[in-house]
Amino acid sequence: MNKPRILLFLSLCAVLPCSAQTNPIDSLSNLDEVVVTGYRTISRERAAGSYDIVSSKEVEKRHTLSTSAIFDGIVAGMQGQSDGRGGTRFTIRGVGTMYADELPLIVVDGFPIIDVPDWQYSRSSALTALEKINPNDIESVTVLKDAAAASIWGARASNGVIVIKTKGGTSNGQKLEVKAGTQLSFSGKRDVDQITNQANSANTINYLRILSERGWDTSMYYGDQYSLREPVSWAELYLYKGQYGIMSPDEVNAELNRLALLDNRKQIKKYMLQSPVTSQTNASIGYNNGGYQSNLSVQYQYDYGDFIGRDNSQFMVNWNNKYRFNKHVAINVGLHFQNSKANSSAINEYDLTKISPYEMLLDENGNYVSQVGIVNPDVVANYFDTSQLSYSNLDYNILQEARNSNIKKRNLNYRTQIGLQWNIVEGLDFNSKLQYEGNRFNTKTTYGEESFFTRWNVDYLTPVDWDGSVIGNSALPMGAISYKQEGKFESWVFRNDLSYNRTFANKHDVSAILGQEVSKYKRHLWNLPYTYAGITPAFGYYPSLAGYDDLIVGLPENGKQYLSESFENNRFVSIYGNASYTYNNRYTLTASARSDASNLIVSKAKYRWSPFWSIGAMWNITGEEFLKNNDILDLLKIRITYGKTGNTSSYSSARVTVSSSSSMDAATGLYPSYISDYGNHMLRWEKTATTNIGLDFSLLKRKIWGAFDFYRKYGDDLLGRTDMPTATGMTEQVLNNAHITNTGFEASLHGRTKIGKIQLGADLTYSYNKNKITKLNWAMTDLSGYLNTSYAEGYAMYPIFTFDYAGLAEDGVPQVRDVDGNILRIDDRSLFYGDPEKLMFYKGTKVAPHTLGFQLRVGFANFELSALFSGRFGHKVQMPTFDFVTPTGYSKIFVNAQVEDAINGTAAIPMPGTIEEGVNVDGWLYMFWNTYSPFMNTSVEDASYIYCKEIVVNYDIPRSFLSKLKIKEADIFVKSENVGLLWSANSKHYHPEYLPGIDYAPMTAWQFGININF
Amino acid sequence: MKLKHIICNLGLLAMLPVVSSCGDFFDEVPSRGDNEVLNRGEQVRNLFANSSNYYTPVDFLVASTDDYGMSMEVFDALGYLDVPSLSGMSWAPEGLDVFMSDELWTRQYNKIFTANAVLNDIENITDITDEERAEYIAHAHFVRALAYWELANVYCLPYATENLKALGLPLKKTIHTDENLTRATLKDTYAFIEADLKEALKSPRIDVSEDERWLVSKPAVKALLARFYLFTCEYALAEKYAGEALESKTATLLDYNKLTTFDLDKGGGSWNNEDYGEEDNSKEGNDNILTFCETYNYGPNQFVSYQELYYPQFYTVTATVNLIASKELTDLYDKADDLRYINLFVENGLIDYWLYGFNDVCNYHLFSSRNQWGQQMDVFLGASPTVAEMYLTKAEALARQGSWSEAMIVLQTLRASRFVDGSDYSLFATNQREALTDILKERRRELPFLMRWYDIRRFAYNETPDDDVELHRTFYAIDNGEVDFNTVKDYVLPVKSKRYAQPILTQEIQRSHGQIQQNQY
Repeated sequence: MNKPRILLFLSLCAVLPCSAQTNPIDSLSNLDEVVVTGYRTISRERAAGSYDIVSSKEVEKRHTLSTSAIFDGIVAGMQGQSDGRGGTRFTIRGVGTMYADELPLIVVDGFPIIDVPDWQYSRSSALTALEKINPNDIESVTVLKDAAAASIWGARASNGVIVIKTKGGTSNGQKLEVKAGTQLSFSGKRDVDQITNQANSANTINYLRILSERGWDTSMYYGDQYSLREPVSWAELYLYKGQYGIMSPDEVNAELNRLALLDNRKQIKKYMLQSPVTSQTNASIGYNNGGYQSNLSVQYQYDYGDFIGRDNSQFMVNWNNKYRFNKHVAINVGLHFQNSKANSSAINEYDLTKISPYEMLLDENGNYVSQVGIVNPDVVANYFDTSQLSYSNLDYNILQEARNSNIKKRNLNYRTQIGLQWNIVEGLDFNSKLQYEGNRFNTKTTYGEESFFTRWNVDYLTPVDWDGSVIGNSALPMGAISYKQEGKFESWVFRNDLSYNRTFANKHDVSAILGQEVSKYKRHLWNLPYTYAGITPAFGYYPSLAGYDDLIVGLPENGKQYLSESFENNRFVSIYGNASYTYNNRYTLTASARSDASNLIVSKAKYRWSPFWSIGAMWNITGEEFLKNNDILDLLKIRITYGKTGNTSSYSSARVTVSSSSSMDAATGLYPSYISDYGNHMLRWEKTATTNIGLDFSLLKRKIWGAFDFYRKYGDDLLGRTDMPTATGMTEQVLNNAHITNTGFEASLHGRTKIGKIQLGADLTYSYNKNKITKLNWAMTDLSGYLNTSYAEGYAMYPIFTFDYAGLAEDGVPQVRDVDGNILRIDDRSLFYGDPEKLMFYKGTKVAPHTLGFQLRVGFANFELSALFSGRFGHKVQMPTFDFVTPTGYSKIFVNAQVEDAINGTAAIPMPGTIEEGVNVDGWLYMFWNTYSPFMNTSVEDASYIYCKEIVVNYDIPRSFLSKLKIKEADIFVKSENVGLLWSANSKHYHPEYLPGIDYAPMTAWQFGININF
Repeated sequence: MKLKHIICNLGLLAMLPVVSSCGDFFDEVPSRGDNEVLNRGEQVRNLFANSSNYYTPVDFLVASTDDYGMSMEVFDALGYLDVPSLSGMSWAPEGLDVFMSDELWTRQYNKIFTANAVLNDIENITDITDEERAEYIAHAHFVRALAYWELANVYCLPYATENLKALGLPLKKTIHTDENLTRATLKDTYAFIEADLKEALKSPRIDVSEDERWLVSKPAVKALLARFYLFTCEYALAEKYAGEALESKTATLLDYNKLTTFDLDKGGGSWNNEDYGEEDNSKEGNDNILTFCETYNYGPNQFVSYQELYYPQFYTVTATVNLIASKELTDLYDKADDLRYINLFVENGLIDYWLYGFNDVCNYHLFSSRNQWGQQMDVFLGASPTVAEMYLTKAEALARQGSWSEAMIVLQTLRASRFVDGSDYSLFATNQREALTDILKERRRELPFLMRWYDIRRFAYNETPDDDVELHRTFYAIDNGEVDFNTVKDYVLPVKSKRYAQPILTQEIQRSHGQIQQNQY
């Protein structure tokens, strides 16, 4: 599958003209690099901390459409994961917290920018920090990994820090630089089976028949007026009608046979899925006359989405200016503006999993086919005369719903920075900087009159008689229903510092910084009441089709303006200092300290002003006499650091908080309050102590270079779920008393060589992380604790616990084995009430301990080909298994694709045998299959895999040709992104992070583009 | 010189203004919205108006009393009883402490937390008058006192001179999670409750609010004080406060003649039998008709406003089978004329469980309600003092002080409201001893099931040996909630048994890291 793509690249390359004038593979020398900590810029050579640098050259060559796509496989220790919104979220050096953010702090041009809290990532309309950065603007990225590197960021540094510097002025001292680029990306439609993981119609019907024939269908279906909102699937409905004698067995069979032959996947693919296209264009102008430097960049991107109704557009402007008044004083002003729009229908992939495989979208005449949604169509037909309702048609159809609903998201982000640098005396500077960032967004959802949502909501609130006949008008007017969520994020940071930088006697380098910062972060989100045909009706109960009075959906209780509202208002006052001394370019000592006081932390000074600090030492061995003038070793450097960093959480409240109940108290007639957080009166920063030992080296005149780092992170005062003696008034509380350790090793190796005219480069990153929760005052006392937990003392985070499957008993009942080797049947009550510690086995963690990144570059003449691979090893995945689902009688049944293995007997746990086979399983017994089978060790497999992330071919257009067009440089490229899985350890060759029905595998995309530098 | 100047400027420019006003800067609450810190009077009021705090689950304690009438015959027919009830019946301290949760303990301490939270934050609330503030403070002290009183009467030995140094309760006085949970002495525990009640007595609310009976008022505090002193054998004070509580104009005795009853046909043709296709073993005729008092049909708003209440607090059991009355109890009533028997005891109540033929077995029903999980539960009085309890308290306190004939007059007032109009409800005593016996019998009739347990404990230690109760029960052997149908055992709970104090959950002791000590048995 992947070979043809590679061949296609090579053949593409062959048709382009060649000349040997350029040197495509950049040496990526890191000797002259600087590390940008956000507060200062220091020479990498003198840095004692653990930093990783990604330069603009590396970024540009990869033509990524988003900033979040840059890091995976490139920076050792950074592990990415789909963020549920098309991007990637990262953790650096393992997860070190349970109730605070796991994500690193993102700093752009010296200031942290507002990110979306971790737990809101997939659903918030606000932009994430990385979405606010144009990858074309990046000059450099520095990843701060250990305490010495990150502790200057104090209370927000525990997860590591990603510091991004954007371009200013021109790249190589020219006066004027104009660049432009455009690219197009295409990919195919997604796979319906991957999205829904449903069995096909034949298997679905077949399974339901088995349930019915063998009496495993123990649920009751009433089909009376009260079942109005209890929909069952069509197939179930026919079977129930057969049971009640409303339909004859032949009629039932005929209907089921008809359904078994239907298949909606083609229609879904045709009408609901789209082939996505992305086009991106960017341009920038750089100017530099010595005193004034400026860089203005614009980017426009349009995405035609992968699902019906989806498209996005985004416009971004970034303008950096620096003006030097004289030798001593300079100011800089930065402006950033971003406007994005996203449209989609109210129907998404998840809704596709809620229609049965035989429910067609359109019939042969192109009319919408009635499907089963949230309302039981059979009950509607039998009990209500819909012709008397506002909308006489109450049929649901997913395509009709998608076409008649939309969600419009609007997002406006603006950021401005003003800075003053004043060189007071030689080596001493005063810096004053201010940043304001604002982000306003709203999401408006509209359901048109044709949508079922609107028709149903209006019709539902119609008064009816006991026999279902309509006796009045709906409480709601006819017309579209819409609702809106709005939000506003704001931050202000004001910072003043003094920095000192001097070299004495060519031997003593001293640099220091001392400063103070005040910052405020505000998040405000609110939901407006629903509007019905443009008006907001009065809150209250109205007669409904259900026969009782019910509320209008989406109205706040009396006296409230918003449906819901939340504020966050975090304030910090910080004092920081950092100093380093280097002797003779050989020995460096660094120290850093920061104190962050915040309103998040209790007022007790001991906790509020608790400091973060670090110390570090570096020895440049190659600077010593005995290694001077050797030809092999260019650089050998040892770094040792130790320090403490912090993490914030708005999860826990220092004070007791109360919430107001949304329903009236029948006893007192008031909306009662209840205690929503019992308070943590010793709430303090989470602290992580990190020890890092590192080695940097370079051999054979930078043919080979790299770094090794060993670290140990010890998290203390971490917020952890805590079992409380109930005499405290609470049964559990989140308190600062948990510990997590992360121990790891990282290596990055780079090599460059030339074989004849071919240049070769290889970049390898490897990291190992061992994560363990060493203290957690919370005990898992029952099975569900083990089966659903993300945290357990003594284990890595995100553990998998399962039963140990011990085969079938003689009568066909599955059995499990406990730690003492006793065999228990799944229908044994002691399995449920027994000691879970004896029954559950730890199978490993879902987070990969080993990650590997490998980038191969080949340069020949004007071509450069690079391929990026990533691998993860040593973790576990719970493979989809058949869940032995049974009907409920009040909701639709969905049979997953794995039913086939169970019926064929190829699954670890097969369908129970028949009575003829000597097995007697009745409906009640069969339910145990459903309860236990998904949690057997047989579903756990090795999650290791190797993935080809991208292959890029860059072609530099010969300069001789360009000069005629007055173009300095130009290159064109072809790229294939998400090329595919090369190897995976699991038996079904799934990508373990994108299992069917759980997450959407990224589609292979083809990108073409051109970049011109005038 | 220059550098100094610069640093000075820098300080003026940025550092000083900010650092000096840090306090205000950090006063901003980090988050608002659905979760708010307590800073408005409305929140406090609505916390007190949350009726989920009005109920105390007592299935276990009810089963410990001699009012509980679960017999082997009924049990045979029923086939099952929940573990707390079985453990309560056997009076064994073993096995009780290993449960996963103890709702009574948990809920009382939760009420205590709420009271502490209000006391902690009341000064931050600015939108209320001084009078409202005084009322909320008094309310919180009352809630806390009531919860501690209940806890002390369940988990500690009875209050008596010989027990003063015995284990009391962990006294949570703050909202802090690290507050020491070592159990105070019984003496200190009662002193703490008394002090809380004295604070609560400062309530500016002169009388019980008829519309909002859940607001704490002076008569409510006095009623609880009367109960408190009766249980500490300080009869003069008990008499004084009971008398003052009875002066309330809004908490008054209800004439049971005004209550109506209704019939429910629990017999054949119910949807249960039809739908589940079970054998229709119902019987024709009146056997299927159960008679309930109108109170059993009350909504929560009605029983929270019940006119005899000073403050709404109720005991609950999760199944009607937990309020099966013993013959000893029902024999106490004048079955022809005592409206408490006629209205509140439902004969043949077991047909609720499709058990027929137990015509003489009664269930006690006062109110019914649904708990937060939608489960129906039986609700009954006694968790907070009622007007009837005050009559009984006053009468008992008077009698114990020697004014026994005066006590009998007080008792008659209560009985007048409990008997069928025109019937003879009078009682005659010829001496203090007889008077006391009559009063205590009346007390059992009026406050069955739970107050009975508290009284049995009290009687063992008070000055009169006549009222001491040794409990006996003949039932199957029960071991850790498992019933051995082959062995019948005679259970005895001797007077002054250590088992008067219910064991604390082992889990709770572990989670307190050993600060909470277990009772000695």
